[in-house]
Amino acid sequence: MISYLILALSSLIIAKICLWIINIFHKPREGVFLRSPEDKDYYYWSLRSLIKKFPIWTTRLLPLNLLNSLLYKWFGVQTDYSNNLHGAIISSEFVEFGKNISIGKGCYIKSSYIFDKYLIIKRIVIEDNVTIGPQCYIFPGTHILKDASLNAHSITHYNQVLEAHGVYSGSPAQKVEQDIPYHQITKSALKKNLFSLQNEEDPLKDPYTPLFPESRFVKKLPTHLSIFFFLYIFSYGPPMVLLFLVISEYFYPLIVNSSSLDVLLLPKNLIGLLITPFVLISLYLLNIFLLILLTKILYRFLESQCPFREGEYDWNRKNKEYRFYFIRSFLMRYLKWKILKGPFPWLIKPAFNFIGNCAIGKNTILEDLYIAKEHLEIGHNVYLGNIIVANHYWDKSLSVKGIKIQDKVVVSDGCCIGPGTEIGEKTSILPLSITTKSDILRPNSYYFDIPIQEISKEDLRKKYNFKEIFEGEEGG
Amino acid sequence: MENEADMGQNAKWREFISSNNVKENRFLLTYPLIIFLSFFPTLAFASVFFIYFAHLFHPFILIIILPLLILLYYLIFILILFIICKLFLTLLNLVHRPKEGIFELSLKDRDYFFFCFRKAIKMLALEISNFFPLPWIKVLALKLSNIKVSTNTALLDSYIDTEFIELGEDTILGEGSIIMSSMIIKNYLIVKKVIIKERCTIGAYSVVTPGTILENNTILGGGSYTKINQHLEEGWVYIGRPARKLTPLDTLKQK
Repeated sequence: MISYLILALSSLIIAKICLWIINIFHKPREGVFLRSPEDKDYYYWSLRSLIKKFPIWTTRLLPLNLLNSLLYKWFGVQTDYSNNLHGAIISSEFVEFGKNISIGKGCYIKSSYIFDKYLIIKRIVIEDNVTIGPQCYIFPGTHILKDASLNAHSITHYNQVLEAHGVYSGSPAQKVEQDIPYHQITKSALKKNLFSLQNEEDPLKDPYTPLFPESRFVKKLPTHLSIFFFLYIFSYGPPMVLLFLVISEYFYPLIVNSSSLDVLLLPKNLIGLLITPFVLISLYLLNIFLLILLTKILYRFLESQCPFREGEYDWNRKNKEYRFYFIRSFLMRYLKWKILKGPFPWLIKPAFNFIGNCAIGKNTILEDLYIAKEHLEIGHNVYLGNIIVANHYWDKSLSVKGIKIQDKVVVSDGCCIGPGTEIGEKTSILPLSITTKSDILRPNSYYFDIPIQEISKEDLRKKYNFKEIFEGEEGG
Repeated sequence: MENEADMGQNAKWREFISSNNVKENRFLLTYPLIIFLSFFPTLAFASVFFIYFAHLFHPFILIIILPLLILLYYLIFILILFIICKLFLTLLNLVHRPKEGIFELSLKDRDYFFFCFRKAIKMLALEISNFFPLPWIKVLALKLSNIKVSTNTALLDSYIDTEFIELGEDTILGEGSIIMSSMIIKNYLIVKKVIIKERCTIGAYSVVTPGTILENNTILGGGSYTKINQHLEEGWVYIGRPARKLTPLDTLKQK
């Protein structure tokens, strides 16, 4: 426990030192930049976010709210400990918070936004006593004044100012004229309306009759557990043996043969201390490699038993294809969990390419996302934010279909890409939009909304205040 | 008093969803205590094994099963942590029974005080269960906090509130969906039961608000939210912000 805290704190300190050094070479600044490695601002922005990834990972391991706000403070976000930012995804620079802010789960507060071929960085300011609903997207340059509130699923546009005491909703967020002013709602009125309306039928007293007996759970348990234990033992075994050998052959004699002070002072011992992290990391990589290999073998075996097929499956446990689909997804689930929750989430790309049924191109950036496991085709230079890529869809039955994403596509945070979607080249999708079944999006265009619709450049300029961004393009 | 007449079924305030993150951080101080308390029994289990039983195995086999043992001890740690959380919760419930209602956002309000206390403890159990490789431990964490849930419910990475929720069998919660039975409305916190019955599907990124009832075989589409106190009828597909009827479920199969 203590050693973990030391690891977290030391990673924070080292990251801070690295950031200082980088900031001497190039000061972080706001503006609209081109998204290419030749642009200095973009290059240093990606370097900064790369450095922050490891300390963020280490602190996220503990479910402590306070440690999270400490982390944000450390990287230069102004916050107060009275805020509750639990479950929100927040950029770690150019953000300012006041006091007593409550932000809903799954919100995105991003001071940097990737759109088409641009990177936009601008400061976000949120003042005291603001409440923001779940699943909102706050664009760069937003300024939210005191006591304002924002509805769920709403988006603020670039450089928007939300007035004090205002109630905002929609995308882009607009002031709502409420029949009762929101801040005048009284307790007695709330009580009367919340707890008296539903008395025409009292659903609480309905008899609760399950459709299936509960014992079904026991039937599916053995296969799933045996898959899990097989993967677990054989992926951990060899690295453990190696670790034991390293400790018994190298470290143990080193410690036994030297007195207490020598452990730290002799150069030979110091080298030994310095290489331990590398040994541990390489063993971890070996562990993951074995896991990927074993998963591939099992996957191939399962596929030979019942090959993958696009189309509709009946929602019925007796259906063989349906059962195998779920065994396969359970198999991939452990791999995905292990890699995405670990310190090297970018390993998911080679892993998926290796196991098969997926093709993910070069220079593609995948951020923290829920990704489908089968039948993915993603081109080169694609940027996918915190999104969902799903290749199955539930209604009365389960329908499965592959996804194609072509080169240079940008999908912003909070999108959901449904099964059977095909996205053309250089298309960008604005945040919080959802594609439905088998949508085909044209190349070189912008898309937005639920369900997804094309949005013209004019609309973006007028509604979302993208004037500055497009002007930057025409100027240079 | 004239305001009260306007707050009926179609009032606009019911379409306004705000967050459910209560701002009290002081209850997090119980976390170190609970984690510390549950470490001791785990250490005891581990040491008993290594003192009395380790010499029975060949060293090589011991190394091979060591990862399994670590997993086992982790499981024991989680289970003991759950038991301690449960103890805390029963003690709290003896002092003050959890109930639905409208509370003021200040610690002087007894309901609000205990609500935050309970929520802090339950959040610990929920968050810890996210770091276990097998998905069923999350079901246990939910059962700990008195949420009716079965092992057939698919709880993909969804945020679920900590009290007054019923989830039926074969219900699927999409990734990133949020089910909240509590919500902040300006200076008040409202808590009301959410009931989701059998074979419902809740789409990705959709929000279910306090007081919502989903009947059997209902689908709530992705990226939509329900009104406060909304009652979704059986066999319909709902979508939108706030959710409205789209089509009956029977027509879907004909396509």
